[in-house]
Amino acid sequence: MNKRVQATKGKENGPVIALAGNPNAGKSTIFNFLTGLKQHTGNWTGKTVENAYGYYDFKGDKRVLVDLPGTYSLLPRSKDEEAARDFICFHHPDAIIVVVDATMLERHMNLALQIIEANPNTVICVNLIDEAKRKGILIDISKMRQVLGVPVVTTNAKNGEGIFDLLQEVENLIHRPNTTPLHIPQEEEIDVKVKSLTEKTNSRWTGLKLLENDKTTVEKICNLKEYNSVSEELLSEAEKAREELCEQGIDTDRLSEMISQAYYRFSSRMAAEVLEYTNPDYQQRDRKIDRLLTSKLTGIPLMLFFLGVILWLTIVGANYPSQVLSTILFGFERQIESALYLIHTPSFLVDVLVSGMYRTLAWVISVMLPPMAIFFPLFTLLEDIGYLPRIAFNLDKSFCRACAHGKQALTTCMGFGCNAVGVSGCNIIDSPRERLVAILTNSFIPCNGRFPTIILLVGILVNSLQIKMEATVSVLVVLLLIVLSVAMMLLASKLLSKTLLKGYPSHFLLELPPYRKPKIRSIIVRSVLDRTVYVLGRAVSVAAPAGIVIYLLANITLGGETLLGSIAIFLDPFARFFGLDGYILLAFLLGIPANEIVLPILIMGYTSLGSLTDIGGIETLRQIFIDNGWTFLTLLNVTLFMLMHFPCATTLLTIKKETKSVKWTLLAFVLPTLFGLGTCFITNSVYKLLIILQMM
Amino acid sequence: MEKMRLCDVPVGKTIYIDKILAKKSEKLRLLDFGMVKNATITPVFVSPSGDPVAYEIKNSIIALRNSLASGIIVKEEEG
Repeated sequence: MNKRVQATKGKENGPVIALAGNPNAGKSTIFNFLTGLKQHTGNWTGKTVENAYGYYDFKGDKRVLVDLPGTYSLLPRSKDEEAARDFICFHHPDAIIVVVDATMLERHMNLALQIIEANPNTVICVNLIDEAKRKGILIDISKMRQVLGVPVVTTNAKNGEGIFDLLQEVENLIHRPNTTPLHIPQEEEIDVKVKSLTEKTNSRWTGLKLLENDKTTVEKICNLKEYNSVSEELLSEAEKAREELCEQGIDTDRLSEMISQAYYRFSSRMAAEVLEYTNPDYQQRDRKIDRLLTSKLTGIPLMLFFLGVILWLTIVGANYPSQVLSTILFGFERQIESALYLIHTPSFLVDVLVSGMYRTLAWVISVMLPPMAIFFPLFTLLEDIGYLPRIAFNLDKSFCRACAHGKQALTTCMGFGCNAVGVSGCNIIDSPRERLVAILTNSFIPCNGRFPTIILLVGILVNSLQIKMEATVSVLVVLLLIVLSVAMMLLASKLLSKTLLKGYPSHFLLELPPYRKPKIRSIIVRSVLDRTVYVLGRAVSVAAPAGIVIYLLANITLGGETLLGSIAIFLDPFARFFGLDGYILLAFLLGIPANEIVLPILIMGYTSLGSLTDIGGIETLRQIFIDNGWTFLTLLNVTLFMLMHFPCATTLLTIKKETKSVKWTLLAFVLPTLFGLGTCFITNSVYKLLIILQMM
Repeated sequence: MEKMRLCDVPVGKTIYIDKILAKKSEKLRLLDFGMVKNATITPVFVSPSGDPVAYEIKNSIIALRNSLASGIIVKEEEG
């Protein structure tokens, strides 16, 4: 995965260039294009969580490129913005590239102006210029240069158009830094006050921040070497200026508002001068799609339909490749065995490696790879088009009722891919309470590690009903389970909001980006390389050692019973309470490294052959389960528990990292487990009650 | 001049922003999105449950919960 940079630690590797911009302006596309680092870009707000960095060469010289989180302004209002602000203002990059969306120039210039004011060593990159042309938006670039006093370049990052010019301008800045800051006029009263602070600090931006008294920024300014000695003096002068402004009827709130408005006044004026709209109705097509995707009548049904199509393609499409892979991988077993014997490996070790490690690996790959290779590209496609923010928009009311943040809908979507990704994605939520709620409830969403198992279990479930249209019914059942998981997540969010994390939902503000044509090739490359290989790699790296441990547990016998069996027998009475059995519970516990291996462990335990057998098909599996006393209820409960139980080790570690608290991590473990056990307890009790009633 | 709350503006009607009545942090965030005095804003589409509503401002689409939009005071004419 990407390397992370805390400060300008890359300095010794060459000049550092910061890449800034509004979310969704195409920053990450430029970053990927230049560095070749497959940093993921999504068509939604707040994707870059930490500062990812990479290198590029320009005419043989090495440059460090730091991808800052997308921000709307330099005033830090969330963790992301604070990180971006700190880097631009306090880490002295050698040059800054500000990426702005050509189709929303006025809005995006708000941030660009603040950056130019803070550090004029900046080049403005007007990206998505082809999209602007298509929409009939003409931009007078030379006029822009003149107004801003910094280089302006147009690019179309998707195909690399204009990137060379951009880099050339960056080089010019590295060799001849621009030191003339842009003067953005403030209201008369403020201008007077900021003038003297500007002279003392040599920076109008610093002067403004001191006057505005933005706490975190002022603290960092005072800690800078150059202001250390004069900080007391500066602070008291700013304080005095504030008092005087207050007497003139401008209190601190009004002051911040006026300062913010000044940037927009400037960008509106500039927009009026440089922009020309030749097609005022250019947004009509997007609005038509929006109305279709979000209306009362069609919004939710279309959403479920898309989800259903994705699942159907995944379930049906994964079946055949799974069998082929399984045949091939299990076919290699003999060869590996004989190869190991050839180099005189002790037979016990051969068993551990082949029957333990290799079989578990083969299972994980053949069961997981095909559904992931289908699901991830399709999901990335929806993400790229810009549909995910519309899902958040459609579902917001439910999240609001659960006292959760609207953006939790986005982290929920990420959770379908991987809960660990969803948890770290919670950074886009700026209210700490709602962020914690989102983190703690993310694992209610079945991730890709659990999907194949759930799909398999549902397959057996539906198969046992002996009905027609098996595939379609399976899709509907899985869809139902997904709706259930979201409902449970909302219930858990509400519960947390009413107890441990009391509070009201904060206001919701979400940008809905324009629909963009997906880049099919890059979707496939990215989703396969980034996501599929990453998740599979993680699964394989835990499955291999886990396979050995489980093999040992299944083969070391104590008093006539294997260790695996002894523990399962010990757990059995407790498990029966919830309509499960000891082996099932043990498989879930041993599956903590990765949910993917729960089923292989279970089968290993049941067949008590001490190793996995060829999975064959659904029929074989069903027979194994029936032989071990499974009923329809057991199957249902295992599926439900698969949906709701403790998160995997990676997710737990991520939660620990994000919350910095053992207590919250523990809660994240307990909460879904209680929900899962509770649900199983209810189904078990109802089932038993029905049987009693039937007998009466 | 007649003033009203943004959440009461019918879909498709373009209107001018007058002032924002909200907590400082929320107000500044709205300003970041371009909701400054006299900027034009248009409700463009509504979510299935009627809340939030999507608004077009400065050529971008921003979704706001009604609780927030009710604090944005708008007017029919510039000034």
